Amino acid sequence: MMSRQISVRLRAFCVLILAMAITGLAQEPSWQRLINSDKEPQNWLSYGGNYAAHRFSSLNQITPANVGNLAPAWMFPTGEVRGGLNATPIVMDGVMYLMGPMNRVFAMNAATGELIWKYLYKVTTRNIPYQVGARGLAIGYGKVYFGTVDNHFIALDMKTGRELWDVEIENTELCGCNVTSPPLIVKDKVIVGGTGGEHAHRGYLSAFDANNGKLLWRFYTIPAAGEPGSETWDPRMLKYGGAPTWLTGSYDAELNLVYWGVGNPSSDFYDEFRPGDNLYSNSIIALDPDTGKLKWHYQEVPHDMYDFDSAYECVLVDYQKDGKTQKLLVHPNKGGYTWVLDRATGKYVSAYPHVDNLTWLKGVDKNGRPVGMQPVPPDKETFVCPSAGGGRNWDHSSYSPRTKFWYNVGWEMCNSIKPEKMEIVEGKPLFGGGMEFKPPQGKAAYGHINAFDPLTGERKWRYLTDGLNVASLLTTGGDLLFSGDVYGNAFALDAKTGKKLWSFKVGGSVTGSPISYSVNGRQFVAVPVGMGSLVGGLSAMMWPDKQMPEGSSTLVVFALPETKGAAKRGK
Amino acid sequence: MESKFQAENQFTAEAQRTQRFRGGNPLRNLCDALRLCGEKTSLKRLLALVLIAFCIHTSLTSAQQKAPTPAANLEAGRRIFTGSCSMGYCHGLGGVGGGAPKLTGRKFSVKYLTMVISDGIPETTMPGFKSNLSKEQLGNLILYIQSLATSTATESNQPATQAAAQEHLPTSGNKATASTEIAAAPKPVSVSAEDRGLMGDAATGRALFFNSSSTTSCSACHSINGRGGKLAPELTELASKPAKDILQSISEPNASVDGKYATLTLTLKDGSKVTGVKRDEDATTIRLYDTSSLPPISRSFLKSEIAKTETLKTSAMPGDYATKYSRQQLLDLVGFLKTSETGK
Repeated sequence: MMSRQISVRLRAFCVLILAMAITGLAQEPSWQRLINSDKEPQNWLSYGGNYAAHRFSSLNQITPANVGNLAPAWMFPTGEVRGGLNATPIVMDGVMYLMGPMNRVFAMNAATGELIWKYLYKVTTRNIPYQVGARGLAIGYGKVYFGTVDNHFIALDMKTGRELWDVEIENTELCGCNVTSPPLIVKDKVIVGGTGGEHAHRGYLSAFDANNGKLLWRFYTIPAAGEPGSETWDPRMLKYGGAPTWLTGSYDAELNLVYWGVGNPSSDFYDEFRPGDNLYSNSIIALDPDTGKLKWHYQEVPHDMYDFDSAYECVLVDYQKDGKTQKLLVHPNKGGYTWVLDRATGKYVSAYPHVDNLTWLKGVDKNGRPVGMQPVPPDKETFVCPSAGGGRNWDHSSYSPRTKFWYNVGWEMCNSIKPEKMEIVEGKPLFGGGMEFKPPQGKAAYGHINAFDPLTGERKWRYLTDGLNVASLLTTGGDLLFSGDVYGNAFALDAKTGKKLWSFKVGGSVTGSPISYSVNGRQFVAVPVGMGSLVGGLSAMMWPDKQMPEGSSTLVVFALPETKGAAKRGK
Repeated sequence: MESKFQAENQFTAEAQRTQRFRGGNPLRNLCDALRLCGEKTSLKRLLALVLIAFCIHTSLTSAQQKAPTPAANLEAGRRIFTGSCSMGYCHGLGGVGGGAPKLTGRKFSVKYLTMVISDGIPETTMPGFKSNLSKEQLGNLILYIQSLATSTATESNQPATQAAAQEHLPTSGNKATASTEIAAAPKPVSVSAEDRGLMGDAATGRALFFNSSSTTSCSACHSINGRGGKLAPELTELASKPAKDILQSISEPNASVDGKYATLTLTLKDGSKVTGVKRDEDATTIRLYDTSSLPPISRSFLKSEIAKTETLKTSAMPGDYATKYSRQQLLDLVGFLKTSETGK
């Protein structure tokens, strides 16, 4: 039985490889390289570092013992400070691909920063929803793929930067949506998500043919009338209920499942037109990438009244316990609570808070469904912790297979929410209220980085951050954790203890995602610098006396000083 | 109406600003404001100035004589602000700030607010709300934002602000018109009896035209009043065409092809062919909208890789809409395209 299964899988794999060769998907990086990127620690081939969103590099040249010597090797300004620098740089075989604000794309020598080509996208509208910053791009099959701030899907030639195609996914002014995160390449498809949770818009994921840009399937995150889940809405809201897919998902090749987090329903705070659970808002969805069909879903926040998206990264952890491996999906919800699911079935495994101040729920039941959810009535302000800015924002967590710790940021901050009726017009803003950010009652706001056991939530250590950390976390084979703060410092912590070991004044707020890679045996750590966050200003609100840096958009790349021998090797 | 309203506000605000900052000679200030003054002012110019000054004086006096803005307008403005602008990512409750700048304790002119609220701030996340707000709503919103100038208010102490407004201002005037209805129906233009027989339900037609749950809806390629795809003809003008012509252009795209959107076939040197509508070209590259699948794909080709370019007499529009849509749906589309209020 088992051998027959293997044989079927092998045949399917051979057919896939043959099909890819025939259809022009034979160029590098191939699907085999992308899905096995952990075998190439010198590269950073996809957004999450691997398809499990670990944001871990096994490179170990930089260690707790020598990190104090880390110094800038080169820097690269993108030339556009509006939008800062949110990106995760991508590196393959000594070439870095970087996206700046307004979808400015650069290819450069990853050892020196020397520009190879640039592609400055011409945005087609002056009315850009959500943000002009961009979280990056994907590479595969000789192409650079990305979505744009005006909702197009573009492919470039990786060698030259020449545009190959440009698809308008949906007119941005009609939908009030755009693409702010990189796509996820899965086999012969490129899967693209989008924003729209604060607009009258129906969210979806689109899969395009990686070879020619043709739309192959689209999965709507709000069911059509009559489909399962549609009963969880007022029928009038099925086309306007938000539920966006604005952050990049993950993929398990063994299960052949794509995991994607879905955002909040529209309107955020005013719910007259959306009684019910509002599926699949605030849910994790698992799709068959070949067909776009839903395999399972798990909703974390039914009938969200707080803007607590489930859009954040799906961290896939193979957890060892009692000699068995549990295939888990660890998911930090914006509401400061982390859910852990069986990623094969979508069944609830555990849940735990990753912040201290929570008012919106009292706990979860045996299926993980929140109990004691705080009402947000339309006629008054309601004080809710954490704030709609999140128990942390989108900046990503990291999982180290060495320490087996899952590292996650926490924000201790709250808000007063005031719902308000709004006219519903497709493609137009639909917040349905507003909020004022405030510290928790009786104390000052604070932020932290934590190391958790990913299954139980047992906290191993906590590092108190300077302000609210808006940069992603990176862990390395040297057992270091890299990130940066809004006050203009890149820093490194000991991944085992949380002790701060190094910092460097990069000058601008760090609101992007650091990576590590190596060229000719020299390990680099690249830190995107430049304020580019919708919630980046919250630290300034909470601590008005502290100086915030001016705008910038520069990649700062660090390495240990070269020894003479290493310098020769580099040449 | 909207542009007139903006012009009036800009005019008044500019004059007020100049008076505030310059003091002294009002005529001199006025001509400074209007940029009409030179060292030698001609008689004609002087006469024009006197006339404009009279108009402005009348306008200002009239504005002063009008009832001061009622508290209901301020409350209507507050409701719009709270529903749309006060998201913490944006200006925060009561304008206390968030992802976007705080608005409390700051003075903005009507001109500036009108411009920014209407058109947004390009290449930032401040959107334009021109198509969302009526003249009255815009005025109320501006009134509310201006009321924040003297406020360090949060939403929770807004009642005090309102009470102050109530105390000083009469309560008569326009009432707030906050609506929660979903999408108003378009209104048809006057049509002939022959047209009427081919016109279905305009609201259903509009929903079809802009159907965001379909990648093959008309708006993927066509626009109305500037809204929608730009690779096929703008259809606003269709309202004046006979309904039967509109019906034919949907069901038989090849019957009449606009030369501006002519279909090209490129034969590449490797023998492959691509057909589509030309998007643009430069010295080295040509871009073509490939409509063989939707949404359309703009493909880019190096001129050096093209062996042959042919112009076809056929349309790049898919020819299957007559079968894809029912007859009633086609008539609904015609009904929509015959409306004057298209693409709201």
